[in-house]
Amino acid sequence: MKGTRVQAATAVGLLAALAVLAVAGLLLRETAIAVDVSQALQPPGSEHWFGTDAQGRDVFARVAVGTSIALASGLGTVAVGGGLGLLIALVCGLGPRWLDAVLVRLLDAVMAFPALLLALAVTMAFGTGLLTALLGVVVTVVPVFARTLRAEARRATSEPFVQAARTIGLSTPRIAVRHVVPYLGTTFSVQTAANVGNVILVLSGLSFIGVGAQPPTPEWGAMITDGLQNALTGQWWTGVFPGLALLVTVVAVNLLADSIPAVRAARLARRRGARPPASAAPVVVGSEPVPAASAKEA
Amino acid sequence: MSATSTTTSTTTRPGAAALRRGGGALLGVLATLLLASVVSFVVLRAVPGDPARLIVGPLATPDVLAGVRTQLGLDDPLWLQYLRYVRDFATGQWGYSYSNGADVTAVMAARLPATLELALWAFLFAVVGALVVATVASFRGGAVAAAAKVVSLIGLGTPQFWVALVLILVLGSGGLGVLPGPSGRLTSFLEPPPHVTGLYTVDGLLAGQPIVFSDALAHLALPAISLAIIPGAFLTRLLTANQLDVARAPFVTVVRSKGVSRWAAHRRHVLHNALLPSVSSAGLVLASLITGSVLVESVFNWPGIGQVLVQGIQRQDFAVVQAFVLLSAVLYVAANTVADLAVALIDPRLRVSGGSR
Repeated sequence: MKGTRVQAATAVGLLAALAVLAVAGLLLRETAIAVDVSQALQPPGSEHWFGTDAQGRDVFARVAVGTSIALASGLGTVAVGGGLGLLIALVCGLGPRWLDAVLVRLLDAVMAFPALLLALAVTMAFGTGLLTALLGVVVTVVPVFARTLRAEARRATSEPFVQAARTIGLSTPRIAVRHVVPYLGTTFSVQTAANVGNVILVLSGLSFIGVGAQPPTPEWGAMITDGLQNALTGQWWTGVFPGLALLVTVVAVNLLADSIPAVRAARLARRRGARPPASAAPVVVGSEPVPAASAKEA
Repeated sequence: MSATSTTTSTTTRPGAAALRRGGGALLGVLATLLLASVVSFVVLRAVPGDPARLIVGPLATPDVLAGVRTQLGLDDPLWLQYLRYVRDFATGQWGYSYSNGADVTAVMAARLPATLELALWAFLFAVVGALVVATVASFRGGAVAAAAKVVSLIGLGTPQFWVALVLILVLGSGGLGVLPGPSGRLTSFLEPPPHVTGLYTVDGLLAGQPIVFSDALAHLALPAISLAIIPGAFLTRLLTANQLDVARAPFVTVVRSKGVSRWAAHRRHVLHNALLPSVSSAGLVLASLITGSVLVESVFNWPGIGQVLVQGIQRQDFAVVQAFVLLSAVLYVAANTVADLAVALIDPRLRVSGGSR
């Protein structure tokens, strides 16, 4: 139990540091794209903490702006995708059976594509860029949320409180919003944490292969692409720092996601005395989280 | 994936139940694949943007443009285009590159062995690494297990393309130079071994050329390690969790009480029983290898299909992207199905009561 608390604290600490970096990034937007060829490829030092890239831009400023881009787009895409997924889950859970069957098949079909490749296809179809890449990532998030939340929503309909709400004649939308949505809250938050890291990874992957953020946007993946060109001539800093920021961010989010079920169970146990914790929903953090989980539902 | 597990039967005759379950599963897989093909068709064909315009270029006359449109069948109704798309994909005619007219199927086939070799070695690294780490972690427990958990969590969050860069900087030609850096599959003065499987390491051994084998292996090492990190971390978590689960089972206590040493019980009983459930994650591992090859190959100048895709993207080559994306879905679904069937065949518990999963 102590280990979990340490883990959660580490995650929160790292995320707080990243949040500070992201705020700094908001102030450094001008610096991050200021080209100064006379300062090209300076090594890390007191003037440029992370050195400069081939165009003389400050790598620290670019990493900081990249942090704000990554955090904002990670949270944003998961919020939008999760919201849409929740909507679909409610339709599946409370709507007619045939609609549920159709939607589940469709979700399965979308989830048959590896996330990066689906996002890639969507992005290419609508034209490369950061915004279309975000759209592509949302498309991969929706079925993940919909599939998990649907199972919970279905379970909710057989719970006494939903049946009671039906009995007293509440309308289906009202039951959905007032009774089922709160029931899904835990799963939703766990899924959110489990997906943000993955989404940030996919997004930077897209930029890395050239369909996401375009230069001169200081996005981490795109910066690593730039860094490759300097790697063999010894300027390691242009590619290493953005990747390090990416790694720390994703690991921090995943650490947090991993500790949520245990922390929640502990809190629940404390509140209710020594009852054993209800088996927390299994979360596979990292690449391709949900297909594994979805295989378990009936 | 879920398609196979959605149908659970409660019949008393196991044979019939298994048969019906298998049939239902197969239908489910086919439905998923068909829908997946609709998804990829809609995403890459029906959205704004004119493939004919991409092929002929911006300066072509309207006549030429119309000619290409007719040739591609873009004037036909969408459903007809879709049927043609499915037929072409199923028969292996994946169209022609928009940018240079090359036969996509032929290009993919020529590049496949390189990716296959890379993925196989990465898979080997991932499985061996995960087995060792997970077994040690679950056997020793305590701090070792905690460390293994942290390492695998970090591994799961690692951008593979960045690891590739760091490996080149540290071990490859950007740093110590211990291993060849981003320079393809073989040192340039070496001839590829006589073609048998297309995998240079295997062909090198078959042809009795140890130099080719070791050179190919050295070239493989860094890209394969980069590729192995995510599936390796995933498998480590899975195998550790499975072993810890099994170790708590009553039968292990029984085995121990019969005087079997703790390690022997762990190896013979805990490890063996923990392996089976991980078979069903084969699809996820495959998906991560496919995705990883896209991200890693271009870093190492590895001439595989991942690099074809990245080059296709840079040239706005929809034929390449379309073939690759749908192919990845087919492989993913197929791997899941095969894995589910394999688990059902191996695990006698699933045979008896028509599946309790």
